[in-house]
Amino acid sequence: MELLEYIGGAPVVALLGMCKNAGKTTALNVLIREYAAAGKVIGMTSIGRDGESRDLVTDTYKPPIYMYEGMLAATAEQLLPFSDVSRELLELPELYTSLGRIVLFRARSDGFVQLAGPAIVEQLAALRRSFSAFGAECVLIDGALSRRSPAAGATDGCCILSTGASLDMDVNHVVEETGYVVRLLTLPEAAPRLSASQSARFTLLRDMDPTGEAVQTVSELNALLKRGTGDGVYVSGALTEAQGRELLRGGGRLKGLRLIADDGSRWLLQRDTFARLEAMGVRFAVRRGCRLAAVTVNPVSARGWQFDPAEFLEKMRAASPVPVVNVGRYHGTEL
Amino acid sequence: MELSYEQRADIGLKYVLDLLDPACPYGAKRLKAEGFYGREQREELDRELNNVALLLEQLEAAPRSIDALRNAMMCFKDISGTLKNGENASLSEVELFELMAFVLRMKALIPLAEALPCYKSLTGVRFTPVDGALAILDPGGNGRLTFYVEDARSPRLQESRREKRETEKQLREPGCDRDALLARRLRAAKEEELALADIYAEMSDALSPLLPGLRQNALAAGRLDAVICKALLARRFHACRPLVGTEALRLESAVNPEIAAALAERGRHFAPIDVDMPLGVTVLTGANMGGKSVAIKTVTLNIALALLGFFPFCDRAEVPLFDRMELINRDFSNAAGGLSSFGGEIMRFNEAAERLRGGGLSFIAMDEFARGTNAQEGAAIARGVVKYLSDKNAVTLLATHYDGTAAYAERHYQVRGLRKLEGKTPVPTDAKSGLRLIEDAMDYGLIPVEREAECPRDALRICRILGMDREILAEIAENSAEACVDGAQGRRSDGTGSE
Repeated sequence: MELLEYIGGAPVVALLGMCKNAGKTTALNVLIREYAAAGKVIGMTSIGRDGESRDLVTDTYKPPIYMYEGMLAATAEQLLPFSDVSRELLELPELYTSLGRIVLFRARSDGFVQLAGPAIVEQLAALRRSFSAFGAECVLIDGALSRRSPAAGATDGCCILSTGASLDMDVNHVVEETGYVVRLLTLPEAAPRLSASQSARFTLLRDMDPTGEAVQTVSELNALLKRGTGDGVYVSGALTEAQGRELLRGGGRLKGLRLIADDGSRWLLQRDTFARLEAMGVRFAVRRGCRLAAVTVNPVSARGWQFDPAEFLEKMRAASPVPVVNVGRYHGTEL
Repeated sequence: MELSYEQRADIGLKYVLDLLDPACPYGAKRLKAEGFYGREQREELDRELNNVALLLEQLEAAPRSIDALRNAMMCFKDISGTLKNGENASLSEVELFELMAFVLRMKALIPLAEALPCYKSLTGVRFTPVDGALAILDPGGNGRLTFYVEDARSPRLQESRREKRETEKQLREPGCDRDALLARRLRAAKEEELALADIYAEMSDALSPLLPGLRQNALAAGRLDAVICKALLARRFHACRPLVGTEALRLESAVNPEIAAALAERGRHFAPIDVDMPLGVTVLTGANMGGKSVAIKTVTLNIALALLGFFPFCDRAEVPLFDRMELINRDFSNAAGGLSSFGGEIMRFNEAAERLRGGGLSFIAMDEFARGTNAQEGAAIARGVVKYLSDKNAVTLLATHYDGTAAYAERHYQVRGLRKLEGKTPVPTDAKSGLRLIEDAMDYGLIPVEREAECPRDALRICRILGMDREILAEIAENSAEACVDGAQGRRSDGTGSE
């Protein structure tokens, strides 16, 4: 077992990649094979399109997805001809993608499949229900690039982050960037007691209760923080890089301040801005965490260079509180 | 005949149509596409009304049979595109799947429909058997709502799948020759794809002549669904089967559900309306706040319903087969065209008159016609229009404040208004309780009156009940005495002219 043991029976697993060719699909194939070996029925789909044998963006080799008899998949109608698995069509759930409506099928043989699913969280939730109605114990979601929609809207699920040499030629840079995303995906949870109608961008908190002060801009927030009446701020929506810098420069009291957003995808800060805010005493938290189950690494870059696998693995492990697995050796052995 | 979106909303037709709850997409389509029945479609309208009557009877006698039908229809998806494409082109795997689901669901629906005692009497609800299509789509007859072509369908499919399965099995073995096996598997998968393409083409060819029958079944399901919706609506509002194609328009106890619902929210009842309108003009007068517009909307709505093949919300309804309905009321949209509301009204009237000259029978509803100009000219315009329309091929309902308008009318109705308060004017403590008092005392019912009957003089009383300042009221009383003298003279001169 390489990855399945870290999943721990989660009903949904989202696979995220730091960049193209980070080994995300390889990780997905490893996981599919492990589920097959465990005799589990799973469903699989994708946020957007995935599973092409050549990457449409970078025109480099991409491993296809190989599924096993009895497993379920949801993909766009126009991609069925590119999937060579024998299939029993189960449902047309009235969900649409740019590649046609989504078709839910059961594999009646092993074989290759191309996945394209809905990009909308509610639609993924509807698909999950359909998968479950046809007997899937777990749904794998081949996720988008980077850290967007961490668990595809499923707070009961977990995610796997894939990173690799394709991100940068410098192994240390890859480890640092990945370590930062790992931080964002593993931020502690906090539960501010917010009222139902939360219209302000920044709501000042004390001991998780709103102080009654709520503002729309960072400069107003800075003014509030100078007065020092609160010990936390709930950020509705995202905190951008520019806003993060304004907060740093603003002269407000940041020591011990807890900044809370809805989930890890809301911090659109560059790594050093995030680090500087932390150094000033800011503690970041999220309302809905996503359990990061593991990080996978691929030491081979699609663009021609590769890292020393042992060094990469060691450095990544040092920068990650969750298990790190080298899936690079499975690259090209997707079944 | 057409009504604009605004007009449908204004008379409460949109409200009524929004209450419909078709069970399947074909029913929704039918309801959307079904327009007004014209003079040439009289027989079709009769048959549609007959359909509604039959289903209404069934609904009373055995509501569960209708429930079962609606449940069976709820599973249908709209596959009109596939039914059409399939006649000329080969169907894809997904299209065959949705066709199979459609046929299986149709197979469940047909016996339920045929079991209706009225099935044979219904018009446009004929189903053709689907067994032929089902034998092609589900030759094993397993009746499952999933689509998979079994190996036995062709030797080529069987052989390719066997080969594919064999290599997949070997691929699962550790230490296998992956590349060779993958290449072998790919060949088998390609072969499977070709075998399936042949089978899909064969199935499509065999299905092609059956598709018109399936399309007909979709239409029949849609018609049945739509008629059930109409019957459900008729039962909910105690509607009646209208007599269509009569000479006069007669409605007994006509109701407008949208207005009734709004009144019910305030704890009040809708007073049903009776009208008997022969060819010519019917003038409607009444107090302010007295529901003249309500009467016009209610009459217009119920005509529209009858001509759309619905049961109108009346105890009894006789509706001529109008070629058009002209609604000339305070304007929806003429501000955009740069016209005042008065100008817009006149333009609309001109257009309606033009159409009327072109032949055919019009229903014309005019709410407070020419109110937007000065009272003297407005009254003259209204009277002129009534006289003009009195001998035309139109049934006209005109609501007005102007006295003497009914001189050339066939009928004159008055809203009962504040008759309840006759002789006594209670003085409320504030405007709000005054408003409630008027609402309570106001009777929206219509009564026929003499042609010459004067418009009720309720405006001053309403001012008083609404708590207008005494000093102002005194001024108004003085002015209105003078106005009455002027008005009386005006009427007299008119009266002389008509004699």
